[in-house]
Amino acid sequence: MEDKKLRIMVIDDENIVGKRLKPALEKTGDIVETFEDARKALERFNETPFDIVVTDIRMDEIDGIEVLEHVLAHSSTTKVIIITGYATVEVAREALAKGAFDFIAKPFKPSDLRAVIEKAARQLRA
Amino acid sequence: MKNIFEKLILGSRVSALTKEKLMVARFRKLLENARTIMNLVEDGREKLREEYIFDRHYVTSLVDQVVERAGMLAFDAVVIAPEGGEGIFHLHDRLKTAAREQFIKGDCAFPDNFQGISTTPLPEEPELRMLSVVLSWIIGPMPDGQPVMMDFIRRVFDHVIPAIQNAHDPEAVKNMVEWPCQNINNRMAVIDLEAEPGKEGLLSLRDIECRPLGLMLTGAKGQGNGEPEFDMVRHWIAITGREQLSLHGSGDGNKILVEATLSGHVDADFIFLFAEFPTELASILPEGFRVEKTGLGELAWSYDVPGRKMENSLSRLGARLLCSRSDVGTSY
Repeated sequence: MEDKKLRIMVIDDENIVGKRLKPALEKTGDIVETFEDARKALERFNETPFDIVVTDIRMDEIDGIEVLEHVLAHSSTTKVIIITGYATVEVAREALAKGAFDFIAKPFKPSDLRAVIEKAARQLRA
Repeated sequence: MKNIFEKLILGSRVSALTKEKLMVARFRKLLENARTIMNLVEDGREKLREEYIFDRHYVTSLVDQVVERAGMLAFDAVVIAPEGGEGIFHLHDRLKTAAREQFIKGDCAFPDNFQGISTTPLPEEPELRMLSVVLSWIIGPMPDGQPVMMDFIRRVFDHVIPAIQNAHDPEAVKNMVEWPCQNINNRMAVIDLEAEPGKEGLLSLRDIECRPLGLMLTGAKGQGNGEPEFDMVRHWIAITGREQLSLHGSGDGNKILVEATLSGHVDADFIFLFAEFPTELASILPEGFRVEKTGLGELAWSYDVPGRKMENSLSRLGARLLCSRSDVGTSY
C-alpha cells in the first residue's frame, strides 16, 4: 500500500466542507469524492471501496453514527474519521466506542485533518 | 431603579466597604466579559483570514456567545451604576434583536455588495460572507449606520467609569470608614479585602516610611533647596487582596484608576488603566496594551500575559504615572 493513492470519501451536508476539503486533500495526490447526501454516499461506498471516510456526525437523514456502522459492516479495513460541529463529546465518545478511527472538531484547518488522515494511512499500510 | 447592592444584602445596612468589594468584583467580571468578546472577535478573524473549515453553526454560535456576554456586560454595568441602566439594556436588546433577524433566523439579510469587515472580495461560500458580516456587526461598520456591538461596549465603559470615580470620592470614603484624621490633606485610604471589616486604614502620605514614594504620591515638587513643596492636594485609595491591586487617585490633578489582578491564571489576569491625562495614554504604556478613547478620558487594558510581564508592566506604569506630573523623580 506504500505507493497507492488513498481513496477518501468526505460526507457533510454543509456545502462549504466538501468544497474546501476536496482541493486541500487532493494536493497530496489522493482521490477525493465529496457528498452532501449521506444516502448517496453510502450507495457509492457499496459500489466501490474507500480507504478513509470522513463524515460529519450530525446530518438530517442519516447521521454520522449510521454512516460509521454501515461502513464498518461492509469494510473492516476502512478508517472512519468523524467531524463534530457541536459540543458533542458524548457522541464523539460513542463514535470511538463503535470503531471510529478518530474525530476532529469544527472549525479546523485542512492540515489538521490531513494529520489525522496520515495517521490512519500509516495504520492501513502496517 | 433601586440600587442592586441594597437588594443583594437584605436585612442590614449595606456598608460602603461591602459596596466597594462588590463593585470591584463586578468590575472584574465586566472586564472578563469584555475580554471574552474581544477574544471571540479575534477567533472569528482568524477563521476568516486562514483556511479554516467551519459551518454556519460556528457563525451562529459566535453570535450567540457575543450576545450572551454582552448581556452579562449589561448586568455588570447596571450593578455598578444602576442609574441610567435602562439605556444599556435597550441598546443590548436592539443589537440582540438585529442579530436574531439578520443571522440566526435566516441567511445574511444584507445587500450583496456588503462584504462585512473584509476589504477584498470573499470566496463565494455563504458562510465566509456571513462570518465577515457578523464581525462587522461586532466591530463595525454596518450599513446605514446601524449600531454595532462595539458601540455598546463603549457605552458600558462610559456608564461605569463615572460611577467608579464617584464611588471612590474621598469624602464618601471618609464617611465609609470613619476616618480618625480628617485634617490630613494628602492621604491614602488602604483597604485590605482579606482583612476583617473595621481594619481599614488611613495613611498620611507624609508619614509613609518610604519617603520617595510618599513624595511621589503627594505630587510634591522639588524647590531646589532639598525641601519639597506641596502645591496640590491628592487623595489615594489603595485596595489590596490576595490577587488584586487597585489604585485610585484623584484630587487637584488628573484622575487615575488602575485595576490589576495577578492570580497566576494567565486567562484571568489583567491590568486596566483609566486616566484623564494631558498626554496620549499610549505614550506611557508598556507594550501589549489596548487603548480606547472615551468621552471621559482614555482607558487601556492588558491581559493574557505571564505574571512576570504583568509585574513589570505594573512597575513601569507606577513609575510613569506617579513621576510624570511632578519634578520628584529619581533624585529622591
